[in-house]
Amino acid sequence: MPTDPVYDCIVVGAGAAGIVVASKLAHAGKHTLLIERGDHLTYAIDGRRDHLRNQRLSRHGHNAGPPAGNPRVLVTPDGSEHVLEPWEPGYSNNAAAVGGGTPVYGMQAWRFHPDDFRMASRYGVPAGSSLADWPIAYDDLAPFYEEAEWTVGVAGDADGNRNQGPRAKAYPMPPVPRYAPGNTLARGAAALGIGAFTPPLLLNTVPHDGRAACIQCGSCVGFTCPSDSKNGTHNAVLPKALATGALELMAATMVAAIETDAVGKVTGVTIVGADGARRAIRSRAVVLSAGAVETARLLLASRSKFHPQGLGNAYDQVGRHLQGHYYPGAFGLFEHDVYEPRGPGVSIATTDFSHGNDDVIGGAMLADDFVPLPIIFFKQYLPPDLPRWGLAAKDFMRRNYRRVINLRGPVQEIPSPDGRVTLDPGVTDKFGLAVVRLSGTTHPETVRTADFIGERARDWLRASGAIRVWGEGPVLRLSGGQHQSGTCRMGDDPATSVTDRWGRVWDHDNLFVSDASLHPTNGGFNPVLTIMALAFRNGAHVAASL
Amino acid sequence: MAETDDPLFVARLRAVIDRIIPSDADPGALDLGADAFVLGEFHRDAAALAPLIEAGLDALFAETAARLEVPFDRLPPEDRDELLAEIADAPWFMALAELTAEGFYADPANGGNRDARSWTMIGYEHRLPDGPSGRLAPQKDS
Repeated sequence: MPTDPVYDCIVVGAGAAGIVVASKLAHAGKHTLLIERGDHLTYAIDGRRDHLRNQRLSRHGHNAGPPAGNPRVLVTPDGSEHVLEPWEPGYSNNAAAVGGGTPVYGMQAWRFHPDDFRMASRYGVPAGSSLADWPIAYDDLAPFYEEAEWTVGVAGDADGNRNQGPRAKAYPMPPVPRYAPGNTLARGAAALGIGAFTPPLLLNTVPHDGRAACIQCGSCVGFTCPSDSKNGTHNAVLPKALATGALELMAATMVAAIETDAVGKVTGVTIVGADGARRAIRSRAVVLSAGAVETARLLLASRSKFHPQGLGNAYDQVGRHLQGHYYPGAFGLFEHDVYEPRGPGVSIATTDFSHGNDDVIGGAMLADDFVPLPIIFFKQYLPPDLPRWGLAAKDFMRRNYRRVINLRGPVQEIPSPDGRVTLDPGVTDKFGLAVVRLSGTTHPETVRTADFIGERARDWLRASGAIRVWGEGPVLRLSGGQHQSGTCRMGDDPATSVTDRWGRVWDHDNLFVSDASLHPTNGGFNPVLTIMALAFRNGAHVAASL
Repeated sequence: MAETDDPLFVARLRAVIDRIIPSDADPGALDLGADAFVLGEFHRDAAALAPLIEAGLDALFAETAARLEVPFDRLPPEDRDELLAEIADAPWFMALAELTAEGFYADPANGGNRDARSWTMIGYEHRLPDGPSGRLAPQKDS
């Protein structure tokens, strides 16, 4: 349609990264279209607290999408194939909503450790692994971490983390208060000599940026916020970007493919409606911020005679090295109440096991968990030898719901090139598009590190006075999930990466990636602040290049 | 799925659910409506489990009939517990136990935790401005 506008840039995916990139473009005066397959998600739209259908417990469905009609195929290590709905285990869902996962997330706002950017240099590359250094260092990203902390809004203790990289500025808000669970663990940390502090959260602990302070409810993660004090890209970044007048948001719209012209140059995208009708939208540049699974799918699905294996895939790198986070830990039972009703609940952490651990590669941050929903406590917190029925189960719930601490952390994964996203040759979604096929596993070194971190959690709980500790042991599997990353890694060599150090797809001067797909490794921390920081950095770069 | 509305099936189901979360000083599964929750889920998101659980119940009642003169649902609680302990690892029973717990411990709008009584029992406080299940309908002015 010749009357359609030609945008300066189309950003695909309005999540933690895409809204930031679109915002940088809009504030630079670039005419930008932001396309999101999900819809708006706020407390006013969905304030229902369904304990069985949310992004934390999706046993019977979930609240942040995507809905049915978007299957994926998982190939498990035994070789069997499973067609999965988005809320089923193994699907590697994140969310499909305006704001991505940020309207419902757990808000942990970590900067990666400086050595997280140089894992291969620090530890060497294990056989069979694709462990790699980032093409940039902590110091390159530090100003953008700061921009993310102050623009989106982080509450934290700037001096608490004795292992953090240099920071120029404190956080804009004071940290969350510490109650019984944190105080209990602080005593154990002191006994062990562990450096413990209050973790940073993307949360208004005081009124900030026109939004209220947290009301400390008991069901934070997985749900929209009743006081709009959970800071995400949907509330802290998007409204101001839209107010520039340079940004248009197109929600509930699926992108089918990236379009290229007769000489292979990117010209925009094709969207597909619920009726299957396709429409091309032109732009001078395209940025993919659809998450590590869907960004890879889009590149693989965008084939032409110049790019028979998909865009940016001349060296068969798109979709490989899929990572997430093993999240090992332990539960500790105490003789006294360690429950605090005032949420969100995450109140104490250590980074002493992020690096420098004997005999394992990397490590993890460890922190206590959110106030558990009772049904999550029942499904995940009970000791393995306790019957799940009868008076024994009921009595354990009654006596001990308030006496258990859950301590765990995200292990820096050692990537394998075989853990990957491809297109399934047979299964299609409700639009008729080829769906993602997930296969392979992480590298076995990840399991060893996860085992080590689980032991550290047990130590800490015991030193804090737990009379019994338990926890599941990690097994080798494919990772991904809400912390999905690594499928379009950035680098300095086109043969081993998908983009350059600015997220520009090799061989395409106007096609960019900005999301966790870029992470060569995914840190031993919750990744969202790094995703945002990279988006602030790369978004400014894209704007300057247009 | 019509079988799950059959009174015989419902009676059998309730006889087992009664022992999955028994009543004592605090309410049990039947007291809070967890049986109605399970039956509702058979028509909703747990439809795939209904045939498995129905076959399991049939087997349990047949086995009881072969061994005892009193049918399972007329046995005293301690005898029912003994029989259930023998099949506690059976997939149908594990699935039913988990479904029952989902109703009992989830938010009350799911139908199996009347007045959030299970939360009172364990000491969970929701601290939400719009009640234990949040806001049940979207705001019109959104």
